[in-house]
Amino acid sequence: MISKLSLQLKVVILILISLGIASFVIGGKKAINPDEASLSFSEFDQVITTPVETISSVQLADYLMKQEHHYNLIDLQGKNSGYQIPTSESHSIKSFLELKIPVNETVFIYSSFETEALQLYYLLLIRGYFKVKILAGGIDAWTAQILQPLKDDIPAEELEHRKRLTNFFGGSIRNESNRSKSVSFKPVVLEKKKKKHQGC
Amino acid sequence: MNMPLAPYEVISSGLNLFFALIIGIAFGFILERGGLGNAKKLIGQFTLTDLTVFKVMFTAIVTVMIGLFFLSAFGLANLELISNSDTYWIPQILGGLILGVGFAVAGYCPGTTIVGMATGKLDALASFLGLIFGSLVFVAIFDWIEDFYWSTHLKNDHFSQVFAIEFGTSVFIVICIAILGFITAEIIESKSRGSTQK
Repeated sequence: MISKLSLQLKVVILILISLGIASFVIGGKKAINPDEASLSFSEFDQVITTPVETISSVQLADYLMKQEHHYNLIDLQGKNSGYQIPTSESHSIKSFLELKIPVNETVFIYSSFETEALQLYYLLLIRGYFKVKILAGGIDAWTAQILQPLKDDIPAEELEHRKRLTNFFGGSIRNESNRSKSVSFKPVVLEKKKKKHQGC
Repeated sequence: MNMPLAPYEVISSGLNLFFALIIGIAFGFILERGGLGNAKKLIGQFTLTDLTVFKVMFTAIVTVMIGLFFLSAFGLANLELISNSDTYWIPQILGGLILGVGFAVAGYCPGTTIVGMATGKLDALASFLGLIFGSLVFVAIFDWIEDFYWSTHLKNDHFSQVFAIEFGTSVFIVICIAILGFITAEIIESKSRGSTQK
């Protein structure tokens, strides 16, 4: 039967058999295993010495308000945190890493202090994520700049824009007279943009 | 590892679309040169007289599969970032049947309709209009069928995941199926040629 096949088909079959055997031998092993650290010291040094990518509270508020892109906003404050930025997901460093989201997703991280956010930031960077930013100043900066900003601290040309952001996120702008007063803010529900469904 | 290029932002999404256009034109050109812009040749698939469609499409699938496997194995491509449609098996079987009926009646599948139109074939133009009409009907009734459309979702929809085997093993199995398919196609075609000569 084989002898009746055309020469072209015989050559194709030979190539396919060779590639098939090679695939079988390689199996599921990858030359680069994503679960194993494969960075050299110099690559590791480069990751650590590159300036940390941050996003300011105002930039993040603008980004969330527009809802133009899919993103992951990760809250590392822990279970006892009182306030969470709308659309954020509460995680521990471990639980977020276990999600194994695709490495090209946008990740914003915040915590009470920047320390935990930085830990997750570097863990993500050495795993190949390249669109990771931490919220500069953590949740305190968000509260001070978005939820309860002081009018005198806002440049005049920025005031309208900042009023819009503060109102949108349920806060209110404080005057010098009520600087020390704690102002309450309404929690807002923001619908997060869904991940685009891709495929052919 | 920096492939696929667009998800890793090595190239912009606009440039990615431009490359897709160039590859699409090249693919269409090759389909036309292979005779797949002709409804008579395509319909041979259903009458078992000419299995060119099967051979061309299976060759394309196997080529891409082997290419991606080796790029992944040598750490050059991250397969997790290559988008592919999820499997919703009952809706997709029904969709496949509807497409198959349309293919058999018109003599063209959606891709070859465009190829046929590019060479000025009027039956391909008629098929293309049918394709547009069918798409519009689908959009119009989507709200009614949406629950069915998203039903029977398979979470592990890759061949290797469903059968819990290594990716390389699944590549080997598909290659074996392809070889058997190519040999069977040759036998069927030669028998068909023999009966025609008689």
